[in-house]
Amino acid sequence: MVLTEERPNLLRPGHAACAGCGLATGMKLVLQAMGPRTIAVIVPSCEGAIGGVYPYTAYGVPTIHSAFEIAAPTAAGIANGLKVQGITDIQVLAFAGDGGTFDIGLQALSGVAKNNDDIIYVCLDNEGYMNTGIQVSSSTPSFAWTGTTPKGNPRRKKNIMEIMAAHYNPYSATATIGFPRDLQQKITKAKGIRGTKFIHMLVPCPTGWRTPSDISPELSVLAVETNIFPLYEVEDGKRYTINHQPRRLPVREYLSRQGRFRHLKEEEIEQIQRDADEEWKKLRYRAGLSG
Amino acid sequence: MKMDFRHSSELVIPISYGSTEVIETGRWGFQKPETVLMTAPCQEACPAGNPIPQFLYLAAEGRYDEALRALLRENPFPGVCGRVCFHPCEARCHRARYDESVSICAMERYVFDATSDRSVDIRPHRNHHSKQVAVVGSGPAGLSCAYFLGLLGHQVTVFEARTEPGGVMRWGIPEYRLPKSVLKREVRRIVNLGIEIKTGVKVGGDLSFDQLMDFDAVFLSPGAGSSLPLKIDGEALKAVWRGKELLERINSGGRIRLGREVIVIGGGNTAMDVARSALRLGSRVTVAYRRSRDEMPAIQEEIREAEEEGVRFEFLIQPVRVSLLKNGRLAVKFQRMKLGKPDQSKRPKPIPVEGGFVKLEADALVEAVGEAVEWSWIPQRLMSRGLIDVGPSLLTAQDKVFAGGDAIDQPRTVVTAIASGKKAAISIDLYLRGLSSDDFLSRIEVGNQGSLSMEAYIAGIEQGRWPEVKDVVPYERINTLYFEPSGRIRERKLSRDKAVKGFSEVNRGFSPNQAHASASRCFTCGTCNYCSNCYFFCPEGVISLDPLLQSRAVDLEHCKGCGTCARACPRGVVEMREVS
Ligand SMILES: Cc1cc2nc3c(=O)[nH]c(=O)nc-3n(C[C@H](O)[C@H](O)[C@H](O)COP(=O)(O)OP(=O)(O)OC[C@H]3O[C@@H](n4cnc5c(N)ncnc54)[C@H](O)[C@@H]3O)c2cc1C
Ligand code: SF4
Ligand SMILES: [Mg+2]
Repeated sequence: MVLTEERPNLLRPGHAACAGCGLATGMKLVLQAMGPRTIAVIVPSCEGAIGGVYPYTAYGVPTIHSAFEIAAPTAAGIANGLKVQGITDIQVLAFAGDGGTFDIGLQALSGVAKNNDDIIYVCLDNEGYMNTGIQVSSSTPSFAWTGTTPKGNPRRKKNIMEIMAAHYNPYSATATIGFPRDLQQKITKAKGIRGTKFIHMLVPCPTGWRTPSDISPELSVLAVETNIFPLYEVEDGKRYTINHQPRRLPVREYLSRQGRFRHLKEEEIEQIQRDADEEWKKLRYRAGLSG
Repeated sequence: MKMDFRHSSELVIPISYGSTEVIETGRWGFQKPETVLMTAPCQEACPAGNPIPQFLYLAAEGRYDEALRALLRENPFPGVCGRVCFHPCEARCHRARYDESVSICAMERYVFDATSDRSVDIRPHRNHHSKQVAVVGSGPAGLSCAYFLGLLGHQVTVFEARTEPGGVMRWGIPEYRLPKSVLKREVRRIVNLGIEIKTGVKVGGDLSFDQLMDFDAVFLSPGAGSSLPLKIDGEALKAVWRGKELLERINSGGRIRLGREVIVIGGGNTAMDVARSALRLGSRVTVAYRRSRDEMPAIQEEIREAEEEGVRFEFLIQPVRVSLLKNGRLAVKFQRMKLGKPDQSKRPKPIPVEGGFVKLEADALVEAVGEAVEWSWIPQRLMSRGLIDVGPSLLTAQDKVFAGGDAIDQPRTVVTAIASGKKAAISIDLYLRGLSSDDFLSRIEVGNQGSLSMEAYIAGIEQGRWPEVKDVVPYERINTLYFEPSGRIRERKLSRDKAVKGFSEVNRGFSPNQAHASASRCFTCGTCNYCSNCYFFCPEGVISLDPLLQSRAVDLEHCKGCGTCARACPRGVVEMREVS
């Protein structure tokens, strides 16, 4: 595919992401699908670091660097400001990490979703506080190593999609870089919906996940194909659609490629497999599919 | 760059206007990606060197005209090969190790069927060395040689003893496997290139071997035309036929009655074609073969189809005598055989079981146990053990005389005949330019098994652009994660009942949807098909692809060398190389 006038690259080269960063790929894909008529909000996180050092910026759209926990309300404020001015062709996009979404920004996001403010909120989930040196977040998966869980995370990953669905917001979807067409389609779809749109995007992090710099997309595909991270949409908090029929590979294939899971015991792998199977069953049930 | 600080009493907002593009993050890395096109294993395995990944990529895109043109650069008979080739390519397909091999042969046929030659624009290259070349025999070997010589800009005259061109494709293989209309289209395309085919001219009769020497070069491709006899008692009886002659009669439109029951002797393609033709003429057919099913030299599909249609098989028996019964039927006495140690053909040698005999009755017996070269017109010194003797460039013992096809020592198949015609055309062109083939043939190889690329030859000899030697993609370089598992799609077929009622083509090929799905299954090993994985996955956004310009470019100033593109390329086209 060629970069065209209509689909320019809006995350500029020269940015400061680590080599092989899945988050950079994710932002690149999202911004390309958003297009130039976008205002973005970022928060102190890898997004800020990647964005470049003053007076340079990697973002090809006007971008506001807000505070850590208020990506959603900052975006909502801009969206409402545009509305008051009668500007209708600019979309407001909020980027926040898992720390800023699952943990510290959850209340602020909930308030925006409750008001159904017209923004697209993309949670770039790399499953930990990576920018500050790899600490556990409530998005870190079971048994994963982080600096603050040296023996493995004792808690399960929070189900953010269900929390969002409980707000009955018009559109929530999971997406990940290994399925770029699906990801961009979801962004395009979100652009056409008014209200709070939430995209939960898994972005592998070579630094924090202790993986080589060349396998981020592959891990992303494996996360989907092992049912660790199914691709689906929730409309109005109740209509579930599964977007990709997974190959149901064993979770081991995903886990074994990552340093953060190197210490896993057999029982722990089996536990993760059971959890994935159970979640998949629940998801199918919610999507109106049996078995 | 503009710096701007918005001041208010308590708030200072710095704004970045500069682009990070000024930062050369490319310096961070110690390796850089390179596009490395490679040869697919199927391509190496195809004796004709068909550009398999390329044509399948075009077909998957629905660009069938271009797919046809790609095939025609290396093989003048896609419609024939797509029907009768034994497809060694499919046995090597990497996809076979993942789920099931790609239907390469059926796709070759589909590309032919879905197109017309109107869109084909093949013209002879201008050649300042243009010379006169004679070709003897218009089978696949002769016509391929003529076609490629024509492409190279030579004047070619083909001498054919029979009334129509095509060799076994015309007079051997029956209509239900290879419709005459398919061959006609292929031949017309060759003739349109300016090739003159003189039918009804037998070298050794109408024209002498010595008269061929008036040409600047000669290619001998007379095939193996005469059926070998069994040398048993009763062979001269009227109801005993020779396989190849019988097929010729059928292919000439002759009306033949073989009777209620027919026995066919042999296990090769001729035997299968005779058996299935006899079924269609209303007979019950038994094939008698002296080894077992595993040793049958016929193409596997043909054996299976013969079985499905109702041909019966008797293995491990060999006829010893035929006699005429009072009721006019034949009695055939067979010796029972068992398998011994491998012989020169590397198959177990059949040896007689002492005292074991069987008797079968039939209305007709057809011997189809092999064919030999009819070489009475060729000087003895060109021959060795009944075959024309050739060197690595296909040159015979006589200056400027080359040979190929069934008449030389090589597997007797259509595609190997085509391959020899191509090789001879290149050797002849080099000879006519006064160049040695030793220096050039190795530079245009497709893989390491002797297949040659005409496209590479033309680029090299005409523009001096000899291609880089491309390695064959190892399976390990294919990233199968990016391929959804999928099964091979079977072609549509006539039902058995309909099939045996006449000579209509049994195999009906793919529907458009089946073809699209089948072509899309190809990994396109070693060839970029612009799947866009690298473009999408590059975290730096420094890769641009242009399928129209066929280009793939990387902005190395900003490439950090993470290796994602190389790893994410499903077909092994990108490689990371260390930078100093
Ligand atoms: C019945 C049958 C079925 C087969 N089925 C298959 C199949 O399904 N798949 C496959 O791959 N292969 C098949 N084969 C093998 C394949 O057809 C041959 O290997 C191939 O045709 C050889 O090509 P050729 O050009 O060397 O010779 P041929 O096709 O035999 O052509 C030689 C031509 O030279 C002409 N000729 C001979 N002597 C002279 C002369 N002195 N002067 C002028 N002209 C002359 C002949 O008339 C003939 O037209 C089959 C063979 C037979 C017999
Ligand atoms: S997948 Fe590769 S090896 Fe198989 S047919 Fe296609 S190009 Fe050939
Ligand atoms: Mg994080």
